[in-house]
Amino acid sequence: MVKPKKRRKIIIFSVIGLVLVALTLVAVFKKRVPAITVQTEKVLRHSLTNLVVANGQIQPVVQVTINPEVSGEIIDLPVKEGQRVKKGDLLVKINPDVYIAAVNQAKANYEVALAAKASAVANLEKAEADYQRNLELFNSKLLSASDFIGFKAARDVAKAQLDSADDQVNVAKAAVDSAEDSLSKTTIVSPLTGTVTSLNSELGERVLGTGYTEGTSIMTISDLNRIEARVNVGEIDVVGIAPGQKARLEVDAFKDRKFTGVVTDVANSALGSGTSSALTGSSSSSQSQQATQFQVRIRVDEKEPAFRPGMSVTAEIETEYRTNALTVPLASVTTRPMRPEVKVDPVKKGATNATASVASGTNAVAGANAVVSAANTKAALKPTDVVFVVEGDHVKALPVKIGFCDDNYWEIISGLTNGEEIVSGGYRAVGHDLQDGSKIRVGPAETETKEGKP
Amino acid sequence: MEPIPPTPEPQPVEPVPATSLAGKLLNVFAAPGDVFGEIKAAPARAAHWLVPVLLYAGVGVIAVCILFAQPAIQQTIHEQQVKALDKQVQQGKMTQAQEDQTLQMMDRFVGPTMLAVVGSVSMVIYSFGSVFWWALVLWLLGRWFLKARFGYLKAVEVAGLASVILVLGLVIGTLLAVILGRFYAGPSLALLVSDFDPTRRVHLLLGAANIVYFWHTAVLGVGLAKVSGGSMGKALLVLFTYWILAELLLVAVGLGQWAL
Repeated sequence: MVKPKKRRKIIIFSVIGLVLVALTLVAVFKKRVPAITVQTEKVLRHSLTNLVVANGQIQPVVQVTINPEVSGEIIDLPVKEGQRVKKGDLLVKINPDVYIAAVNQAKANYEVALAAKASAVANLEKAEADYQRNLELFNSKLLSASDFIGFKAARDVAKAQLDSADDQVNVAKAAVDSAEDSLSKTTIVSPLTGTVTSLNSELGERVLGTGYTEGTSIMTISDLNRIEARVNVGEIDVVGIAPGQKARLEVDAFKDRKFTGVVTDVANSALGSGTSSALTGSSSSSQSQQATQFQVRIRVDEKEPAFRPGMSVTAEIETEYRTNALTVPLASVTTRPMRPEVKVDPVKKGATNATASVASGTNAVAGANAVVSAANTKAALKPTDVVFVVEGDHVKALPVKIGFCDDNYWEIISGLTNGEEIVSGGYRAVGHDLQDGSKIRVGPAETETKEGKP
Repeated sequence: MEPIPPTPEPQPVEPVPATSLAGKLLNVFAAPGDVFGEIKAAPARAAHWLVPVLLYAGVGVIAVCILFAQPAIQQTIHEQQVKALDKQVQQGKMTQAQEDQTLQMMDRFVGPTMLAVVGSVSMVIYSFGSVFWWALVLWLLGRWFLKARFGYLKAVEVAGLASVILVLGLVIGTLLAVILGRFYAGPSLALLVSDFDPTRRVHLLLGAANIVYFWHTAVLGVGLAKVSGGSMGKALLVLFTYWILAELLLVAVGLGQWAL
């Protein structure tokens, strides 16, 4: 009676002991891979806008610098800086006295030339008459050849003198026209309706005309109804910019307002470093950045009377736009060294094998397969764009093909499907710690945890 | 007259030595009938229930401390808390802002240490409470279904001694929890579920199908049969019926975690 009971006890306690020892050993020696704290998000569809941000200045679309074409003293300056002017309004009057005298002189010369021409006409008529009369005599053998040649020469000379007098008249007429033109240029009127945005000369000042030099810049007239932003875009971004693209503009002077615009022109050549610096006003920009910037003009849609040429502006140009694109947060895409997939088209592979078999039997097939195998096994690790997909308490590194991005999201062209849960943070986890198969736990970011603890 | 053969003198019966308390605690695993037979015959002793209950409470406190020190389990608890709050937000009982505030407060004040302290205190209360509750169940079932009269203290002794089965279950459960990184782990059908969710009734029922609970109920049944003097089969039937109904009721009314 005692023996079976004892045996039963031994069996039961042995089983219990074994179970406890086994579990304890497993618990103690189980490889504990610390779970990496991550934050997750779902792969979702968003509309993406690729923006190029550039700085520049507000400038009028039409801006005319008034330079006199004639030199002289300003005797009338009826406009002030900031004044609105209409097309044809008087802007500047230069002392015309010299030019009036020049006109008079030219006219007198013209009259002289006309008189000389009249004299030449009379001379020609006389020489022609002499020639005709002596021609008859010569034909009747009543006049010697030498005398006849004298009359003929006299007629030709009179003709030439008339031609010369005619040319002199034309020269004199041109001189009159030129003098009158110069005289007319002493009065400068506005070529457009706009605003005097800068006035550099004063009444009584002597100005130089644009003859062989640049001349004096008297003022600038701008059409402030049509304003554009001239921004400088780096060479990497400029290739994506084209006329017609939309832009959002932030003018520093209007803190709470955003303006819209359309790209109207993209420069074909880079700005010089000096120009760039002047336009951007950025003294900290590097030389290389300055040397490789292109000016882009953006017409501002809104009319804002308070715009002033030269105001600083930041433009966000929408270079690309995608609706309903599959997206992941920017922080979720990282790179990991991965073995590139060697994709062999089964049809082509079959064809290759078949050809090889026909050509040289089974060795050829083995050779072809060996090439593929070698490509699979010996391919070098290449940095690949990956996203970590959550699978339970582990992650899987999936290679993805990314499109473009905006401020928040990357477009995923391939590699993920809508709704998949992916790791979006923290920064160190995504950028460094996580590997394919890593154990994770979802939790707040490290900084938040530290800040949250008392 | 034939002489009357002398009546053989009765041999002196050697008294069976009473099993020590440690022996009783161990024999509950292998020979519960002997232990409870001895309990019925002997006068009530507080040590018969107090020592196992203290053992249960002590092991429970250690288990709680070990469990709440596990990062994976801390995370599981946090996720369950968030899930519960999310559910309340979905049901409109709480706003998102309130949920965020609650989570912030929980992160700030309900750390692993706090959880371990609260869990330990709960474990001590639970160990005593469960033994007295099972004793009450045994006493009532004995009176109503087995028509037996025995003192409540006898039932407490039976429940207390039977709780050493739960101590073993607690140790196994703790080791499994550490191995699996799950808070709710035990030798039950729930081991088949990879993502155990205590808010799902099916998962709770699988978790309740625990070999230790079967064993504990069976040992209690043996104890009930012994102290009531009734049949073993009837006692086991009554007790298992109660246990199954109790588990189903707890799961049905949303207190399924008490069934684990």
